Amino acid sequence: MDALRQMWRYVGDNQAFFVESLRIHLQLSGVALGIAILLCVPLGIWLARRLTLATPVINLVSALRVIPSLAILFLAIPYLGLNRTAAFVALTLLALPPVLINSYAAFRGVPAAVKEAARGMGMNTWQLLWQIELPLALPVVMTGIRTAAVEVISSAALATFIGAGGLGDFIARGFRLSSTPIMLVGAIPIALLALSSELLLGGLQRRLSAHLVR
Amino acid sequence: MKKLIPLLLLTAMLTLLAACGNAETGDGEKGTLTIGSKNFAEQFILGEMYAQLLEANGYTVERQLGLGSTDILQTALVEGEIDIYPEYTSTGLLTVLKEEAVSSDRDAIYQQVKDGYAERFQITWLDPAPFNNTQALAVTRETSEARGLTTISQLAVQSADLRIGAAPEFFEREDGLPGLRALYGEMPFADEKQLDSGAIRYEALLNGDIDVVTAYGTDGQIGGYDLVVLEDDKALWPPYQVAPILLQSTLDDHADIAEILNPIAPLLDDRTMAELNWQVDGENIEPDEVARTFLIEKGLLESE
Amino acid sequence: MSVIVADKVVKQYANAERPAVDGISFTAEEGELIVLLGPSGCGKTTLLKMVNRLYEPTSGQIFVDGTEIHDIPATELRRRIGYVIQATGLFPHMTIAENIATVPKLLKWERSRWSPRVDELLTLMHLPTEYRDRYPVQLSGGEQQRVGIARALAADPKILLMDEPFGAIDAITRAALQKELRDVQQRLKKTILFVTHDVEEALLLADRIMVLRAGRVEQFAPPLEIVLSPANDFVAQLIGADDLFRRLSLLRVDQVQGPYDGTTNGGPTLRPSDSLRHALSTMLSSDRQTLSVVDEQGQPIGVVSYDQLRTATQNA
Ligand SMILES: Nc1ncnc2c1ncn2[C@@H]1O[C@H](COP(=O)(O)OP(=O)(O)OP(=O)(O)O)[C@@H](O)[C@H]1O
Ligand SMILES: [Mg+2]
Repeated sequence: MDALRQMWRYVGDNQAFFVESLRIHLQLSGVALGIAILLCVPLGIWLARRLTLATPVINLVSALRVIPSLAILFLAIPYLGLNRTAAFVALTLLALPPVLINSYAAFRGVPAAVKEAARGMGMNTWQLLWQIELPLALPVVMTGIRTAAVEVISSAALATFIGAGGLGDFIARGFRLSSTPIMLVGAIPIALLALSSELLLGGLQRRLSAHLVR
Repeated sequence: MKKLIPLLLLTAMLTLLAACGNAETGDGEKGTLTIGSKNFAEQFILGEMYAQLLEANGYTVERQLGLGSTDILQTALVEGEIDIYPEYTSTGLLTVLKEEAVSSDRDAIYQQVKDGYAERFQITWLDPAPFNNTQALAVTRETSEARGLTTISQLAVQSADLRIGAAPEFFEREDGLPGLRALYGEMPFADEKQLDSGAIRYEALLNGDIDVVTAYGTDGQIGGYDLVVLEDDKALWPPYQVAPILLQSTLDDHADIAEILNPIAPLLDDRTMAELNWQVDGENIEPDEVARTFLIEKGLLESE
Repeated sequence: MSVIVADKVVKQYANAERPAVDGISFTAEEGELIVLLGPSGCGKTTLLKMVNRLYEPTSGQIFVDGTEIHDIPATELRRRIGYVIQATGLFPHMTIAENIATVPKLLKWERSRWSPRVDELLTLMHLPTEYRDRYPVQLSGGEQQRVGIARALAADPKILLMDEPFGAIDAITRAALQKELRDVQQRLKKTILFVTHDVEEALLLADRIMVLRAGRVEQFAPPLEIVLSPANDFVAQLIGADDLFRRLSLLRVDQVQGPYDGTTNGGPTLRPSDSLRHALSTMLSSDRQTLSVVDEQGQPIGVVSYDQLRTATQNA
């Protein structure tokens, strides 16, 4: 309880820095997730139609998962320098596999009979995609996006190690100063962000589904 | 980062070696002494110097190098788990004794910490080396020359154009940025980057991602990369001179320890210590070899 | 003008030894129900899907209402042709109403137009209109099949393509659906291509049956002719034409009945859709040589005699 009170005081004393770190953290996670979605959902749709190509590509991207996030961050330094770009790239790489694998699986999973019926009714490729495939694939695609979001939000804490800022700054500071309250200033908001991303994306999924069906 | 790994391996190896040596040879004529150190290059090198000189003078030495932070070493020393380790004057004063410095004069501080330790812990400080491994701010020679930047007061004027990269604790501690600002004025930077690892801080400086970096006076990188340490012209940072410290009782039992170790002190100025550190941090030479070569070169040790 | 004309249509799949459809020509007239019958893999589905361009013919031409199908955009062609696929293929994320209204919506009908149409079709298929807002999983297999047919009928297409629409349905439901389909077809005058490999279903529904084997037409004729004079051993064996009782059970009263002669003998009566097997057992149990055929209102419309039954079974 004492730690929480001290944490609160610390936030109050460092308001501007806290808000800035929060903003950077959100920006890092948001941009990485956004790029991963823009890249991987279309790629997943495309791969679902090209099965011979799909296996090697999916395997390659899955292999990315084996590399720890911290290693990706440090490996990016020689190529991208010590700046936010390196963090964006590393976090995006981290978000790619769940989004791609789920998108691919989701669109593969739309029953052939349903797609054939839709085409047989006279839907064109876009109508098939928007009215049939996307709504049916959405739950699985969104699960991938939610996984990626949680992963990216928590891994963005590591951006501090390459000087990219974010809430990880407080964790590193707290650790170096042996100060639990300062560590909590980073850790608690990160946990809350991860949690609210789950809730937010879950809500979005429901609204999107409802919208697409109509 | 990767420089840490050989160090860790080395620590493990040395611990192992020390253990074996003990089991096989037993006590030397004069008995066994355990040397400890903190876990960075300078401390490994100093620990090795102490150990090698004592061995050359008939002691059996057990090495506990790279043990950890000041707290750990202080406890180990008081409880007799180690006998000697290198400590810095202002660390002893501020972190262990938790006293305010009576003055900023290095001799006065040495005397204050020596008296304090003797009284509180019955620990004695041998002769201090002249080098000052204090906190510092450094810039590249290029930046220094282009901007005529050699002191922290000058930095305070120009800071708005410059980006600083610093260790996480630097932003919070009274002997970090808050203390600097209290003494030198507002000093706003164009950007403040928090960088956890020292290696990465220097890398960022050399890559031009930052302009000013936090450093320690004897960091090997200062010489290795030809950096300029900004003069602390208003003396925020107290002197950090190193000396071997040990229990008074140990010294009473082995009076020659002081005669054996004190000759090292005068040889170690800022430049020399930085060069030795660079051999470990920059050139990946083992600390025991760096120590041995140095001692032989200075005639304190005979070549084999 | 024939509603569908196929001219030497060939479909050769890549990597297949022989064409799946090997030079088939036929015509389908308005209001005609043509059954494509044959063993599994003989090319029924392939032929059907070439009509709405889900598959492209390797060679040959197909005309719908006198226009070669490639002169019509595929989506437009498909919206004009009702399609019931082998598996129902209902859209699981849409309500029954939305499923049925698929083509009307693609044709940009107003809700005020398609919504009553949905009720109309549910009623036509003997489904309660409360089903509108259910999802496909909430319906039984047979009900789903009916929704599939309703969906195909929604925009009132002249042509229906039906690929084993009653595939996985139990015998009782199946019989009911077959009856509904015949009623609908006779009332709405649709031209239907109907795929099955169920002989009884073919004989029951077809105006003409096209018997296929390995991508070729073995015989294309009305059911009676197929049963009475199969073109070759393959057709005879497929139909089971050798078995007397089978032949009797496969033939319907209206396929052999003579004209109404103005007399009634007061005995049991037959309906045009009854099988000849039923007619024979009625004759034997009532000890009569001649039975009257009556319509739904009970009005006499024809007669069937024992001689006609004998002729039907011998005429092979
Ligand atoms: N898309 C396809 N690609 C390659 N070959 C196919 C394809 N579709 C069908 N075939 C082959 O063409 C032949 C005819 O298939 P088709 O689906 O038309 O048979 P069918 O008469 O409908 O059989 P069933 O009664 O089992 O549905 C079969 O040998 C089948 O393996
Ligand atoms: Mg088929």
